[in-house]
Amino acid sequence: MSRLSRWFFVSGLFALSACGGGGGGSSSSGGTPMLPAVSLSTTALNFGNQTINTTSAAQSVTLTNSGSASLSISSITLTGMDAALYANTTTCGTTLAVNAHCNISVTFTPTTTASTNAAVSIATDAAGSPATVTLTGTGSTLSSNAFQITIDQGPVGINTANIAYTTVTVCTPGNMNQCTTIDHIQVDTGSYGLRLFKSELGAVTPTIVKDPTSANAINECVIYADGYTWGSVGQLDVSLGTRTISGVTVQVLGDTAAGSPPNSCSSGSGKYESTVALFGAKGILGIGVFAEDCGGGCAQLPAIPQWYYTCPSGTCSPLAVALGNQVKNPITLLPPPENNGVVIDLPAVSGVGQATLQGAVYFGVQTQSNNTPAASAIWYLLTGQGTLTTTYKGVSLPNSFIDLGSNGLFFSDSSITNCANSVGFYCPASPLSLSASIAQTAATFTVDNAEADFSANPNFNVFAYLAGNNSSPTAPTSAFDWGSPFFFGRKVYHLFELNSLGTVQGPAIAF
Amino acid sequence: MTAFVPAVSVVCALLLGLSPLTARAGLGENVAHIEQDRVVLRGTPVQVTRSGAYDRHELQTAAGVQVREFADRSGRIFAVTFNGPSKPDLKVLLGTHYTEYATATRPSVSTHKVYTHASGTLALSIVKLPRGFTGSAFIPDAVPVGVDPRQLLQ
Repeated sequence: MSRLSRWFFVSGLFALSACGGGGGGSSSSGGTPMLPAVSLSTTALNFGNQTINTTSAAQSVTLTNSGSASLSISSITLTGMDAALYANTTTCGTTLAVNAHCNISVTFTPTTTASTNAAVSIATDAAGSPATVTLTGTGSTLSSNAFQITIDQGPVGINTANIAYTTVTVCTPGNMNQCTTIDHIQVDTGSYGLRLFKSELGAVTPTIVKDPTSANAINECVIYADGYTWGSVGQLDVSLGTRTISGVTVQVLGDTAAGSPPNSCSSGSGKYESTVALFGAKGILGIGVFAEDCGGGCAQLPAIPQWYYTCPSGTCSPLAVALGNQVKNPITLLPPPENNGVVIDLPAVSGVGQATLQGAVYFGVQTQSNNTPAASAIWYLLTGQGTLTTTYKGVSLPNSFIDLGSNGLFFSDSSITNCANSVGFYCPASPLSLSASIAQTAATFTVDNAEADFSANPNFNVFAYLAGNNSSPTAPTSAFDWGSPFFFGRKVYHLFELNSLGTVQGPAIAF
Repeated sequence: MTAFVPAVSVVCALLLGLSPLTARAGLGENVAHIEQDRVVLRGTPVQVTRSGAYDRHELQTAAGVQVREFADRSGRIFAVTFNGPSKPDLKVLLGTHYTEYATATRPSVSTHKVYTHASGTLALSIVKLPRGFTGSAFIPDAVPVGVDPRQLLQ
C-alpha cells in the first residue's frame, strides 16, 4: 500500500552510472575515457492517493548528463503493468550535452482503487542503460476535497492505539523536483500547524523563517502535557490529498540548527520528544479550529516563554512573532471557500475494535455536499481555549473539549477501576454504559476494560471503548476530553476562528 | 470576600522566623513566601479569598495563566491549580515536590494530552487543552478535613 512507501532521496544528484565500464567511448588525449553518464534527481515518484478518474498534479524528474561526452537518448517510455495509468511529457531531445539537463514530467490518472506499479525507462548510450524511475500511486474513491486518514499501528516499531495518521508530501519551496512523501503524520484537532521531524525530510530544505527585526532564525518550543518538542521554524510547500499549499510555515522537529532547547522550554516540561520513537509519529498535523499554534498571545510584547525564540550565539530568548510568521494550520491557507474549516469523517467501529480504520478529512465546511452538516445539526460555540462545557454525573466541567489527537475518552470518575498496568486507562470489571452532556446534548458511550481489550486483541489498533482517567486521585481536573472514540461513526464539523456560517461564528463545532 | 494583599514585607518574613528572602512558596511551603512566586512568574498582585478551612491566593502570570495556591489555616500550601494559555513553571508551583515530578517515570510513547502522577506525597494532573493547559497538584494527606478537592476547581 502506497501510504507506507516513501520517495527515495539522496542529497544532490543520484549517479546511476559513473565513468569507466564499457568501451565505445572516445578518449581524451590524457587517456581518460570520454563517456556520457545519466544522473537523475530522484529514482522514484510516489503519487500517494489519487481520486479515481482524476489526474494528479505533475511530478518531475531532472535528467542530467554528468559524464564527459554527449549523451544520446534513444527513448523515454512508460513500462510496467500499470503504465497506461501514467502519462509523461519531456523536454529531453535525442541528445544531451555534457552538464546539460532536461525534465521528465509524469501524471497519474487511476481508474480503480488498486495500488499501481510502473516505471519511466530512459534508454541512452550511457552505462547502466536503461535508467529507471519507479512510479507508485493508489487509486482512491476519496473526493478531491479530502485526504485520507488511517488509524493503524503507527511508524515501524511503535504500536499505538486510536491515533489517526495521514501521508503528507512536502517540497522545498518553489522546487517541485525536491519533494518527499512522509507517512504516519499524526492528525490532531487539538493543535494547529504541521510539525515534521528533520530526519524525515531527506533533501527537502525548508526556507528558514527569520525574525524581521534581528534577522535571526526563529525556533520554537511546543509544550505537551507530558513532554515537549523543540525545533526550527521554516516554510515548505505542502500537499494534502490533491491540494498543494505553497509556503506553509512549519516546525522542523529535532533540527540541530536550532541548538538545544532553552531552560524556559525544558524546565518542568517533562520528556524531550526529540525523535520519532519518543514522539510516536513522524510529525503531527494540527487542523483544529485555530489558525496559528499560539496566536495573539505570542505576537505581543513582552514575549512569553515556552513558544518562539531566537538563539543568537546559542543563547535563546523568547521572541514575539507576528501571526504571519507563526506556525500555521495549513487548511487556513487554502483558497476560499475551503479554508473555513474541516470535517473529520471516521466510520463506525463494530464491537470492541478492529485492526485499522480508514476515514477522511474534508477541506472546508458547507462548501459542497460532503462537508455540509444536516440542517438539524447543532453548532456549539467554543471558547478562546477551544473548550465547551460537558456535564458528567451532575458535575459541570467547563474545560472540556473534543479532540481527535486524544486516543480515548479521558475523564475523572473515582468509581471506575483504574488499570494496574496500562496506566491512565480504565479497567472496569464489566463494560459500563455511560452518558454525559455536551452543552445540552446527551452523548452515550461505553467504557470497557482496556487491558482486557488490549491483551485479547493484540493485532488491533482501533478500540471503540477505550477510556481513561485524566486525574490523579485527589488532583481533579475540570476537563472531559472527548478523544478519538467520539469520532467513530460521526462526521465532526469544525468551523475555524474568524469564519462564520449564517449566525454561527467560529470557533465552533457540530456533529 | 476578596482582599488585595500587598507584598509580604521582609520584616514580616523575619518576624515569622521563616527561611531567607529567596525562599519561595509553592506546594508544601508556607504561603508567606508567595510574593516570591509572584516575582518569578512576573504575576499580577496576589488576591486572597478566604474560605472556611483555607485561603485561596490567586495571581495571573505574565503569560496570562491563572494560578491559585491554596493554604490551610497554618499557612501551608496544600494545593495549586492553574489554567491558561501555557503551562506555568512547575518548578515554582511544585516547590520541593518538583523533583518527584521531574524524575517520575514517563510513558514510553507520549499521549501529549494528559499527564497524571500519583504517590503518597504528590498528586498531579495536567491536561493539554485545544489551546492552553489546565491542571492541579495536591499534597494528598495535607488537604484540610472536610474539603473536597473538586470544590477548589470552582
